[in-house]
Amino acid sequence: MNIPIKHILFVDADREAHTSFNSYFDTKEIMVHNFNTAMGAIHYIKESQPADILIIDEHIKPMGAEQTLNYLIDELHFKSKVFVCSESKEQFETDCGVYEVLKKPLSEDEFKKVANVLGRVERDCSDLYSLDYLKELSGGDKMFIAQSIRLFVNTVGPRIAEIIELLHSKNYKEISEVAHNIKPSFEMILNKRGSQLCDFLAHHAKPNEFEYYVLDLKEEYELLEKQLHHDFAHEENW
Amino acid sequence: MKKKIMVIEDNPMVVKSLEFKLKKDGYDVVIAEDGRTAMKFLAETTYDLILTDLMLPFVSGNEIIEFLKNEYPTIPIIVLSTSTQEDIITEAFTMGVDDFITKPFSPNELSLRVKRTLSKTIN
Repeated sequence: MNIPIKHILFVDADREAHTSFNSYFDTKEIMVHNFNTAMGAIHYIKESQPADILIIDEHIKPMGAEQTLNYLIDELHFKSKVFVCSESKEQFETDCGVYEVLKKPLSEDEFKKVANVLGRVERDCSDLYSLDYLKELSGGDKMFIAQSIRLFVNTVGPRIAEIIELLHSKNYKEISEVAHNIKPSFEMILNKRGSQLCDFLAHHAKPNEFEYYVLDLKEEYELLEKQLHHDFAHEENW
Repeated sequence: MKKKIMVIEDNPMVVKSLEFKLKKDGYDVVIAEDGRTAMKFLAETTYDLILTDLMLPFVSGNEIIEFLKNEYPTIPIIVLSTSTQEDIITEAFTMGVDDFITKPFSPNELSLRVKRTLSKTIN
């Protein structure tokens, strides 16, 4: 089952560091991508795959963290949060910036620094929604598209509020039913995260998981609503 | 004369899309947001095709299919569902539905399947 996740790139040749890092972070909602050299991470980023945080060892082969970061930022325009693992430095400076350091050997205190940042990682709004499906369906009918978007906001918003109420009463069965009902609405505007969250809540969530994913769904909806309002508020049929 | 299709669906965006597409394809479309309303509409007039969701308020899609098969056995039924689970699809076909489309539907696929199901019934 694919549920929404955040991605950490962990670039370090030390296998023990990989093991301890993975045991702390590799959960259902966080995916750790391990690399033993900088080349693997560069290749991954070149392919535009998701990366919320990059953690890189100061002495990583073949060219060390400094040159690797300079390349990633100058050539690949890498913008995500970076931590550098170091045994001695307090902070790590390159031509491109100053980076926060995780002290080696990595301990739980260092992991918490990453976790704090991860909690604040902002969603990339460029892939929040797409009109491709509605355009295909309507042959590009602008009025239909604007009306559909307004319908999304007007109908999904109250159902999210309903889910929050149901969460307070721990009515997980009804949460599943509402999530099942609104899933196609997210799919029609090609919002993958909302659709995955609804699917998870409808078919897979255990009682102790509902709160986390309901709040995630609410957050996703609020982002979408804000973006749609920004993009469509000027439309005649809004 | 236009063919008359009843859509039984409770997601407003899916309803709007189906209505738009089917009307564009030249059909008369009637929307029932739940099973009770569908049964009421069925008592009032005849339909050439029913498109129904499975998870509906008050009366489930399976109950509607059972009702249709008993009371209106000649009306063809296409199920529209977000489910891709094999057991759900198999159960629908076992109950005698004519086709199964997953949501969100592909617009062209919907047109073709509706047309095919209606032409099979005429033949």
